[in-house]
Amino acid sequence: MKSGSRERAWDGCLLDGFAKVAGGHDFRKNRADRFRHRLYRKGKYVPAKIGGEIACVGCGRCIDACLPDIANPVNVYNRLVDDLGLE
Amino acid sequence: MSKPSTIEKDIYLPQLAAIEKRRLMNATEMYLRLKMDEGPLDYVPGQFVEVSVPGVGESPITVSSSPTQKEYFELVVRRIGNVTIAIHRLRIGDKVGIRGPYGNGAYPVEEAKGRNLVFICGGIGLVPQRSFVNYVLDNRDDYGEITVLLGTKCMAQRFFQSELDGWSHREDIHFMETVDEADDCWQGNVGVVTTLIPKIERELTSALVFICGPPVMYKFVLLALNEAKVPRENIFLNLERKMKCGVGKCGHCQINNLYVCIDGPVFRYSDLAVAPEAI
Ligand SMILES: Cc1cc2nc3c(=O)[nH]c(=O)nc-3n(C[C@H](O)[C@H](O)[C@H](O)COP(=O)(O)OP(=O)(O)OC[C@H]3O[C@@H](n4cnc5c(N)ncnc54)[C@H](O)[C@@H]3O)c2cc1C
Ligand code: FES
Repeated sequence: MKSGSRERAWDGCLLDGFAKVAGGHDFRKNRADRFRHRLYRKGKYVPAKIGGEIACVGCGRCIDACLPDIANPVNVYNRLVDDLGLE
Repeated sequence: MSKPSTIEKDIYLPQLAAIEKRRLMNATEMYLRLKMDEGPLDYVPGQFVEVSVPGVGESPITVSSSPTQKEYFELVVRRIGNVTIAIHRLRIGDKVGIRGPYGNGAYPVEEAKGRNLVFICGGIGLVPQRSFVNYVLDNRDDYGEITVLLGTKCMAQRFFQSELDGWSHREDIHFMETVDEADDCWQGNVGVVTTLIPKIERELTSALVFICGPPVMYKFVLLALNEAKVPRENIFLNLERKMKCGVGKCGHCQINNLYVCIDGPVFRYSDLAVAPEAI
């Protein structure tokens, strides 16, 4: 082989089909389920697995891009702690 | 430019394997026998490999042969999308890339010693279970009674027919089969695989039960096992999820906090209580 190219494709746990298997079954079909999973993943699952407090680099791009203004993780986590008393 | 400072093996670097045999077993399932270029594949029943076709991509596929067979390993690939179509096009002598074996949660081959075992398979779910069934048959004295239940959609979709015939004629394995839709040529049981479960109530009481099949099957099989009072600790589920990396990086395979590629693909049912996404 003399040459090659690097290809990149969009991927993200909020996108439709992130958990869809070839047989057609989608394990996280609802947007709400994907949203919940994203916050749990950054706030709980990954820190519990590899340490640290939160698995978010804090770039803020999701906050800028989110039109309904629901993505800000700071707000979400603060609300979970203040309103619901979650750790 | 400085060189990378570690000499650790690149986890994304596949090893080569050659195709020794291939056979289309029904309209969609291809049987492949492969041999690693360098040394045998060292795996436990239930583990999977990432199979890559250059220029196309990579797919996780469970090893279907038993590791008692050291010379080669076997895969069964269903033609469904880009990579699997490319795998079906391969010829004898062609090379594929292999990463793995992966999956720390394989079948509990040690814990199962001395126990009675029940395998409940739906369709292509036979592929991973076959690895453990043949492992047990090759180490027959180490294990108790074996019962295998298999449900297939219709007769045309059955595969490994001659091997299954072999099982049904052996004295030391109890094999029962059903098809969802009957036709003129089928003489056996008709109905989904759960219809066979009441017939093995005696076998179920003390057995470890292994389930593998399409996502819809689990709920109904678990209901039937619950009715038969099989404790959750004795039930093992082989769970399929979307996978990409196979090594716990990308998160595609996650069931809540569990990673199917690392923690699975075989899970003890009682360990899944914390993972509502599982069933
Ligand atoms: C642990 C594990 C073990 C597995 N073991 C086995 C096994 O032993 N045998 C086996 O056969 N499979 C097995 N699988 C499933 C297998 O990995 C998938 O079937 C395979 O990865 C599909 O890849 P693909 O590239 O062929 O399909 P993809 O191309 O990814 O296609 C997936 C789906 O998307 C659709 N699709 C594809 N391209 C497009 C497009 N451009 N636009 C719209 N839709 C499209 C296809 O129709 C298909 O329904 C296993 C999976 C896991 C996680
Ligand atoms: S497949 Fe990537 S994390 Fe499991």
